[in-house]
Amino acid sequence: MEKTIKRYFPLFMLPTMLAFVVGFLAPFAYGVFLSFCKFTTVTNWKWVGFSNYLKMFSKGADVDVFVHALWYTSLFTVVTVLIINVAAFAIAMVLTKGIRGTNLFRTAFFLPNLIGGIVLSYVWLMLFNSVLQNYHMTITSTPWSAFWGMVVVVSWQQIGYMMIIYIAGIQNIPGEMIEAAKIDGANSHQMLRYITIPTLAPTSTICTFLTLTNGFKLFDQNLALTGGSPNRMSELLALNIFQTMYGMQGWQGVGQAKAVLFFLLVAAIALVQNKISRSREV
Amino acid sequence: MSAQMKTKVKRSETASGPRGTKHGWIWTTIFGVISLIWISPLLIVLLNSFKRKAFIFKNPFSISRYSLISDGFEKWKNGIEKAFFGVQNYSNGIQRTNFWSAFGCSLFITIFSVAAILLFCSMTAWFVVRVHTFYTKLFYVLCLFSMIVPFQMVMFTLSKFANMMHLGNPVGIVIVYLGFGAGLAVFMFTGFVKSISIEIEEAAMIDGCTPVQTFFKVVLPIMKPTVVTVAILEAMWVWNDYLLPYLVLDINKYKTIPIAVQFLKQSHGTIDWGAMMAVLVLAIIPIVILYIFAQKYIIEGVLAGAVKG
Amino acid sequence: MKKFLSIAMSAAMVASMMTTAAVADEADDFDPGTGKVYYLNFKPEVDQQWQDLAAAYTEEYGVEVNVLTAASGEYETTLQSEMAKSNAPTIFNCGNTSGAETWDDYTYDLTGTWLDEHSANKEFNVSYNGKLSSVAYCYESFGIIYNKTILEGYCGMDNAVVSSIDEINSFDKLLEVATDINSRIDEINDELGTELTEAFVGSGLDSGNSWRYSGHLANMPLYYEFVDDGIDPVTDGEATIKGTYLDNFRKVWDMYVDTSAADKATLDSGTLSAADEFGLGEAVFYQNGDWEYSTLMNEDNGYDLTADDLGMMPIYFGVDDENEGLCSGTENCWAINAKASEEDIQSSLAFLQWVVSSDEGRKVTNEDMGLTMNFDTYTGDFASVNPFGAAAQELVAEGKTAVGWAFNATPNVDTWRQGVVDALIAYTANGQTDEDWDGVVSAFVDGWNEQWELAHAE
Repeated sequence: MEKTIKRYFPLFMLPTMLAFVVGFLAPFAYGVFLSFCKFTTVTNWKWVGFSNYLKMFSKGADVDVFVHALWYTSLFTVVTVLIINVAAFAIAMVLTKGIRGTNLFRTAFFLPNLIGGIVLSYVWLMLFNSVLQNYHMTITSTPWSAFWGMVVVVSWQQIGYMMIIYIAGIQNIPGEMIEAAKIDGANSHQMLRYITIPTLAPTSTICTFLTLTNGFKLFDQNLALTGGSPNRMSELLALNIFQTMYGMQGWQGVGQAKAVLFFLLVAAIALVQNKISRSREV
Repeated sequence: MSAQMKTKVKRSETASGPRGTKHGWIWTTIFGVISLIWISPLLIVLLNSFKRKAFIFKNPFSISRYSLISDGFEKWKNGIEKAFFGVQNYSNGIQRTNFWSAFGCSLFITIFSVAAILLFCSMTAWFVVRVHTFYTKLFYVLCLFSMIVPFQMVMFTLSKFANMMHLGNPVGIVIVYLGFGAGLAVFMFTGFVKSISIEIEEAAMIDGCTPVQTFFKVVLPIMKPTVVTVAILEAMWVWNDYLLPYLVLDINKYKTIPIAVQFLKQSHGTIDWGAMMAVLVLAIIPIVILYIFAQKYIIEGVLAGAVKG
Repeated sequence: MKKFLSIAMSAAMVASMMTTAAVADEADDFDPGTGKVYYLNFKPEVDQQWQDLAAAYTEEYGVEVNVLTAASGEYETTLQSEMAKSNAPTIFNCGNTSGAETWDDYTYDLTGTWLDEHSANKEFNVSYNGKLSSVAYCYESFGIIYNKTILEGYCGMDNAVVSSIDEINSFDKLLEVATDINSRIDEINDELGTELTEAFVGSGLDSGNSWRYSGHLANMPLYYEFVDDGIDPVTDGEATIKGTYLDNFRKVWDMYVDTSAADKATLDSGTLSAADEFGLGEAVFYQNGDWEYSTLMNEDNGYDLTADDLGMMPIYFGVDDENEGLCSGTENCWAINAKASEEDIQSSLAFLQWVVSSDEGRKVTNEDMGLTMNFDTYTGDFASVNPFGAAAQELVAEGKTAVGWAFNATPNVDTWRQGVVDALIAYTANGQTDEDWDGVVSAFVDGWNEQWELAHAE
């Protein structure tokens, strides 16, 4: 069968691949190339070799801030991956039980995704700060209040999104498997442990991967909610790259180099994560 | 074959659980409350879209700048009258962003991009799962990579390539979206294709189906709920996307809603929040309709598949 | 040196009155050229006016003019993206020396062009690498906006510190008045029927407002230091600064926060809305610029102000209060893309010439866009209609020195400003101690020196 399908390569693969080359691969390769250049626009560059990569660790680059952003982002990603996936899974479970109002509730959870990150981050900023003001604090009083503030907003926005994927996964569970388990006298706890969770492994792979990359790439909410305050101590990696590109004259290339490094790091983590969770799948 | 298909596609018991599951009303109450809290930030946006600019940031959570308790009813009422702007923000926003033209542009791009992504990426995903070569594996990994790359790294090069290939129009950008959105779609589709048992397809091919027929008659119907899910997620992304179309499109001719909204911000940081919130409220309506429609479709899709099988 | 700007400005005004006739003559042999024009506009609020001007020009001269407006805060991104495209902008904005440095490969030398010759105040133009990189087309002024009606009402009260607004002519007087108003809010409200809550509006240190302090207020110590050192205060800047006038900066900042109702611990909360506080008559003083005029006057916003309520005074800084005028300067400068074809360059120059010399162009830029234009062609009917802009010119005419925008020389602007803002937040939230002020000084002075080195190192 594989051989027969293979002959249909031009139909099944080619359109996507061509678009992929134009929309991603070529710009990406060019982007990597530019990380070895000093440039103002992508057509006005000068080859400088590895100097951008070296500059990244020079004094002016605020290595401390960059290193802080690295582990701060990692921690942020771990926390949001856990919170979002657990909550989205739990909500998806309840909202596939057929309780009254299910459709309404699903829509409600899904709604926060519909307005871009920036405006809603401002609304959340108002909410947080009008409460915190009573304690003479703001969301950016400490790096940790900023951290949890972002966790709340990001979780709020993404739980509904992941919930949709989990619901799709749950509805793919074969009914007969459940019937059989019921006949065997499995209680609901056992059903969850032995039927639902294992068969949802592919779904959770998807969701974990998505939340992982979303966490590492987070930008809009970071910019709008904290802007990196206090003292750049709530700066996530994407914002750090942005600040290097735009905050420093002539450092476009360094920002580009940071982005490449960041990409390699996340790619490594994501591939490992993907390998591990795929191996758990049935 | 049909028995197997039924096994695969029969609507799961958890999903169809009878109304009034044990303690159903408790869950309904709990989720009713949570849902309300959940959407309260959005209700704040809605509330403020009816207020004059002066009162949006000053009193974001109330309808009057005076307190009913400490300032008395007359003053409170006066505060409401001063703050209330009717639907003026809506008409200002619609007029100043040229909303309907932006709406049409967004709608066109979203529909065709999502359609292209669904069609081509589901085919690609199936091919990638079923054909085991180095190239399909490589392509899959590259798809994962495309989801990781920070957009800042590729935005200028992407806009340059799109310009070189004359893709700065609503039709051209569909190709860009297909390419840039392929990662997520292929990734999600492969995840679900893997759970489809290969025997069904083999049976179909033995019965004389070509791979194309097998894909469209057997595989795609089984994947329907996944297709709908991916459709929602991709539609949401394209509909709300800002920087990509901003850099790729010839924005003098074509503005999507998120781009048009940006023009309510002035230099020196003055933002017409009232109009902006009004336009955002209008902009989410189509996606909500799509979602409510699609949500039914997820369940119907599963049922239809079961009946056919 | 201090007088330099003021003389330049008033000389330009006199000169402009005499050249009106000359302009009309030149219009006869106007050559629109055969190229194409593509203008990348920097101000989103005047997009429509530019589109209209472009259409009118195309209709009259048959030259294709395309205007693209960058979204707010997205100008640099847009410029970078557009400049790499095959049909790149022929006219773009290049507002300061560091911009000219970055875009040096792309700036066409404007020396001797019509725009250069008719530029009213050449001090605002940007030169770099021996070229006239860009020509300032309009300028803006900032200072302390005050509510004239309320302030006059206060002056009329029995025990007021001053009896007329004119008496507020120095930092010390302003501080006295602001402090007095702030301590007698209820009394003033009872007497005048106002709804004051504070003298100065809340000084937000969030990302949407902090530039008024880290940029515009910080301009004052920079300016006076540059003037002391005898360098051109607007364009050159210095590699190392000493922070000579930071004590004055501190006094003004303390006045802003001490005479305001805003909670000092949460100035960065983003919940403060200075324009709304001022617009609703809750505050008397508000540091901002002439661009704010249209916002404050817009009826739809719900403000209670009329044109008669508004006045603007200099940011008295306690250094040279007698001679100090408003802060006038610009970041709105036209540059021509040197990489464009010769025909396109000539057509672009012709288009800009038409904009600032034709009746239609002058009317639109002056009245509809509300800009205070920087060409000697804006006289008579085309004198600035912005009352704050007019106030700036009036002060200069009285012999005051317009304070130049020294902050245009700031190295790595956003990075440096963020450092200053973070230090200001800490200083204000923690009780305004000397120790915390040292943090501000360090962010200001050391931060500047460090960023300068980074920005100008090869």
